[in-house]
Amino acid sequence: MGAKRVMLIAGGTIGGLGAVLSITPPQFGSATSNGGGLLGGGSTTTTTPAPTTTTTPTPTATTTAPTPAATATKKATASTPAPAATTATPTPAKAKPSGTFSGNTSQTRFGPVQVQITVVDGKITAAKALQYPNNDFRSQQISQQAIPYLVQETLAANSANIQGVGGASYTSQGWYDSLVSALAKAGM
Amino acid sequence: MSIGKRYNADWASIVLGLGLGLTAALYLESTHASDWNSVYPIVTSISRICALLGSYLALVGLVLVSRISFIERSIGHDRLVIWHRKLGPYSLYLITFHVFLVSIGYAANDHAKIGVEIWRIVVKYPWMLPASVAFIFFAAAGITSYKKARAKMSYETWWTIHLYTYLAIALSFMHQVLTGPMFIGHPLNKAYWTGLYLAAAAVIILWRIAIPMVRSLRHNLRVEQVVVEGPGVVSIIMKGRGLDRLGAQGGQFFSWRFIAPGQWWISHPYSLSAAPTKHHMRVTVKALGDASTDVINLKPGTRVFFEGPYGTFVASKATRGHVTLIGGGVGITPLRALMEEFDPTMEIDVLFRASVEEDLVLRRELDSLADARGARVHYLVGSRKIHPMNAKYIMKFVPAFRDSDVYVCGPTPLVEAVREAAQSCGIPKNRFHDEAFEFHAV
Repeated sequence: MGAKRVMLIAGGTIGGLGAVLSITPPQFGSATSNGGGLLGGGSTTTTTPAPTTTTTPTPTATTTAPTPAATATKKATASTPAPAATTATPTPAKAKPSGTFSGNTSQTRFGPVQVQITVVDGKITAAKALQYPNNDFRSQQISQQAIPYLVQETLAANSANIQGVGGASYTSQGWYDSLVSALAKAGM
Repeated sequence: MSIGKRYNADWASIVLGLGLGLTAALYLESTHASDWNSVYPIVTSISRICALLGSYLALVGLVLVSRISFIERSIGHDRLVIWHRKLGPYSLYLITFHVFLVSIGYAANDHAKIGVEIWRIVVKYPWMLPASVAFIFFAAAGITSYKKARAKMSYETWWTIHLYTYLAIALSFMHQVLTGPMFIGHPLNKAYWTGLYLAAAAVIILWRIAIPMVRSLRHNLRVEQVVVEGPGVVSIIMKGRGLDRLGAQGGQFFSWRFIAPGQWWISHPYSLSAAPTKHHMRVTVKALGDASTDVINLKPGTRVFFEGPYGTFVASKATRGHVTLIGGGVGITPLRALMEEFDPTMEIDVLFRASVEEDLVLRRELDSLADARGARVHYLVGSRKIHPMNAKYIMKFVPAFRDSDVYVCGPTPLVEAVREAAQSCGIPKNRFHDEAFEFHAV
């Protein structure tokens, strides 16, 4: 095979590659907005700041700027008894949520993730995955390793303010997204 | 190679490249940014691309030597075998990279020790145990094909090990489609990949099994007689019908399979030692490998399956009015067959090297052929030191060496010595024809 043949092979390779990639381009765009949310500080997901603002800074926020805080919580919590709890800031002892809440199903590249949390008096006492990626063996294995950590992190944070598990970024992202919606249902 | 063949080979190169591109696209098309945003995902990604390309080249390697008749005709068997030998190592390198890189990438991702991770992958992942066995088979075939290793073993051992690459390629298929992220949830990718494997399997079954079987039965080739020619050297005379339709020429070889106990499972590449006729073909064989010793005991009437003819070591390649035929030991046999094929106006000089007198096989035939057509045969008996096959020494016997077409067949050192001699005389490549007989077939 002379240099010319090598050129022909290379040309064919580029042609074949180019043809496929021009028809179905790699999904880099969608993956960055999805994957960057959790570990990248939540700059792309709009719902992220909401849980943190409700837990700690609300007492000061209500005095200085009551309206933006109220609207922010409303957005996150849709239609639950929670808005009553957040607006009545002076009496925090009232109406702490209890019950079992299932988050929305979050679709990841490797499969769906859905989180269920059990809340007693505003504290997450248990968390589990109703659905997790298990289409193929590698996903099963990663899920089995990652989910116990995600449960631990969730219980420790008592919020969606979790780190995620390295090596399981999709599952972590899916867990986070579903957890946020579960917390919203619980009004936390 | 003719202009037409060169043109066809160019097209074949483009098709090879296209397949390579499509294969690489399988991964690049299904990949995500997270496969490339830190070190270990990149390692894993590269490992998968290596796996795809290595597997693709392995399939191409099989197809190249699957004797597809129209490709053999349009590109030439010899050229296909050269490509097979050139691509083979790349296939093995890429698959080896895949094995190492995927172990490293997965171990890092799972925060596991590499040994633990490899164990886990092999034992727990679906079809990974067969795939690991496949890798061992594949590596064994590759390693035993390196010149140095190949020279140390018999043809039969090498061939048997090489046969396991079929099994290796089949065994590795399932782990690819069950664990590869480019196939999980990508039905089109899976269809392309499965299609490639099925196409390769179909080609092999048709051209390596069905067609040779039908042809062998149709020509009804059988052993007629086994004649002892010298120490450890025998001629096998085979009889069949319509052999002229095979279009074989003196100097070419077939792959022969003698349907006898202990021999049917392996085929041997032997050159014709006489120009073929309508009813007869003859090979002359030295007990080189483990099984070629048994050919002495072949019984008349034994059925012979064959594939061929192969090789471009033929009289029509000569471009000048003078040819120099140089044979070492049993390597004289295709030259003996060639002598019958040259145009009567052609001047022929034969140099026959052998270490001892008894190894000058077919001597009587050579002499009578030489008498009949006015050729000169020079017998050079003794060690390499007495007969150094350099340009100066060759020209002592063949003054016109510089201006002739050179045909050489024998052990590799002899072929290489003559190649050097020809180069030093300024004989261009297209006038140098060689057949190193330990490397015949694949």
